[in-house]
Amino acid sequence: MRPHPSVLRARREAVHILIAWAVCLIWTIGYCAVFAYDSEPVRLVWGLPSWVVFGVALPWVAATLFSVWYGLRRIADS
Amino acid sequence: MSSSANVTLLAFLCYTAAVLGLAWLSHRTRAKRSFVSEYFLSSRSLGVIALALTFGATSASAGSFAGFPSLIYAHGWVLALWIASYMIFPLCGMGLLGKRLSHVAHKIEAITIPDVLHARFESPALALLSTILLALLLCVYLIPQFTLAALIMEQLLGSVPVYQEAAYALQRAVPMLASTGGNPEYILGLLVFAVLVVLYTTFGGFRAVVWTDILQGFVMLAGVLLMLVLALNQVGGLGRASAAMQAMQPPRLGTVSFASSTPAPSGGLRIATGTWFKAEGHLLRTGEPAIIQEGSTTSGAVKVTQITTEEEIARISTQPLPSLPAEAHIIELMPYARGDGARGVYMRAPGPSPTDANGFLPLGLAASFFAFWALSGTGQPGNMVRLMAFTGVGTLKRAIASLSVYFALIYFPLVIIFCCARVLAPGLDHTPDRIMPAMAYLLADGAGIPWLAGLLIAAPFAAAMSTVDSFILMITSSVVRDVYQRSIRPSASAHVLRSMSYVVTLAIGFVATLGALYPPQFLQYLIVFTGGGLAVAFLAPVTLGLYWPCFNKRGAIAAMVAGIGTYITLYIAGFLAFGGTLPVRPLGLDPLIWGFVASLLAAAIGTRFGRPNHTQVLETFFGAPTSGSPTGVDDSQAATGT
Repeated sequence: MRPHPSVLRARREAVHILIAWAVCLIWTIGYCAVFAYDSEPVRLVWGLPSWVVFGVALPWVAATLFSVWYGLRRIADS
Repeated sequence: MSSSANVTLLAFLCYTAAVLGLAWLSHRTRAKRSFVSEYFLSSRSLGVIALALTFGATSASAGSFAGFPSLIYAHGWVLALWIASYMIFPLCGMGLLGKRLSHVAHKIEAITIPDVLHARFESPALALLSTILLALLLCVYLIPQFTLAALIMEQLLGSVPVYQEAAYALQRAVPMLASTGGNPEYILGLLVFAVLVVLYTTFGGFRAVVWTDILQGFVMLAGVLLMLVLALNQVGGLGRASAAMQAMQPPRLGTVSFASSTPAPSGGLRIATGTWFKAEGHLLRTGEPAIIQEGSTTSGAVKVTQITTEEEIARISTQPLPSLPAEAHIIELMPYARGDGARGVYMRAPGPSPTDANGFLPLGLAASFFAFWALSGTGQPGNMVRLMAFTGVGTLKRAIASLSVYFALIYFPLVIIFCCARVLAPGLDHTPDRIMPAMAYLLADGAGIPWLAGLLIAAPFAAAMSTVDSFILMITSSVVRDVYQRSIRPSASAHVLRSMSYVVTLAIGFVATLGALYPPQFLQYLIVFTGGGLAVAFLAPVTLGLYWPCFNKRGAIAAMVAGIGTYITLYIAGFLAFGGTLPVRPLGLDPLIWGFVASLLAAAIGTRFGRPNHTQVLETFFGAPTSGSPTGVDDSQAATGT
């Protein structure tokens, strides 16, 4: 059977959300794998370890902005 | 400390009054509406703030405000990576299932998750299996939550004279309580928490739970933001905190005994927890009280933390150390398995560990946790139920946006606050679970505003309460709706259902309290284990059931059994191999990941060999069928089961 268009829309949105989760996973784990597990002395950026800033904090800000935008603008009303 | 403690008691009483007031209001509202829908789902009327905060507060359990801070304190900045998945958790947790679950639940008038599974797969066996798993795992989950809540109460109010007197009076009045072995302050905390949470949950139902969740959500946010400002101010800025952590090397944990030159007088000698002292040239801090009994000259072994960082030793030694009534003799001081003698380990991954030579968070485990929080949170029936109770898609959309900002304001600041705690409150490594109340008192006193401690300390208590109330109600709804009303007495009147609900809620509270009177060891592991178990059992059956029309009964049962079976097998294998609570982690990945993979594979295989779904079910869940197949499934699909 062909599901109702609203089901297809919800499924498409679910796929987008899974892709967003995967991007966050790849960036955060990938970046931290290279820079957080390094034995070199930690460089500070804005008082935080640089791997925290670029591997966690900035992605967190980006993911929050994306969630707000996607939630308010991209999820269909029906 | 005394004035802070009294203010804490006052804050706690105000908070209790507010919670009970909300329950009373909820009870009045409920009296005018249909019992089952109102008691268990608040008549599906949640608005934006209610949905966002009840979802957030239920997710943030006592672990978030007791266990998580203690881990940050013990292992440093690596906890930012451990919790990083929360950056996308609100979108996953609400966005993946929210629209579909809400739409379907409205359509079939489902009250519980087993309701949805029963309607989707027409399988009483699956509904019963899901109900049993739900009730069993949630009951186990409640025990550590009750225990943690009682520990928080003990730490918050244990130094208040009125509270101490009440605790000992209770033990004298009910001697049986003394036989449990718990200390009186803990037992009183447990009973107060249990009575309060069971009372308002029973009295007010889902609406009371949601309203108190809103209150608790705001309390948590206010507490965290205030602590952040105070911590940064008192540590001298993030740069100074990081510079101090950069120089820091892990302490050594060990034991000492205290000996006095003369026998202890009447009442014995007591050296308090957290006392700084020097022994054999080392700077040490007690992690528990040392007691020399009357007439004796020596104490038993007392846990201590040895500070090893030169800069910290110099800083602490500038303050005069208290003179002790006894001399300390070191029994042992154990180096950390990873990080001993190394500077900067609190600043990078995998973080120091007293027991694991691989450190706190090896890379495989970091990837596992990133998947764990998002998958586990999405698959929690407690979260799913909330997605069945909002008013419309617009509410969901705004709630996703609100919760994303809310979590960003809660979890990352917690990492900053408790990294600062390493600098502001050193030497608590033997008892890191005390760091939350210790920081609250320290920050409030440091700011010269002792009453602030009351507000700061309400946050962890609110977190424990908001999780427990939701789970009690879920177990009640499973028993009353899914077992009694569906299987035993479908024609039960609203009056009977109401009475049943009250009795079951009280019974669950009683069982959880009893369990917490004899608290199990390894509370955090029990929480992780049961939370993961719920996710692997429910995530695939519910998600595929909502999005995949061909997913059938056999696939759903196979997914549920394979998921929980794989998950439990890896834990049992870990117990047999290591003799502890750690599971076997093939390729370094958590059992949750393997359970979820097994669940998906079993879902595909089971569906391949199962019968197609009935047309009516497909119409209900996915809209009108367009093919001519009598089952509503294309012939080609029916033949392959895909």
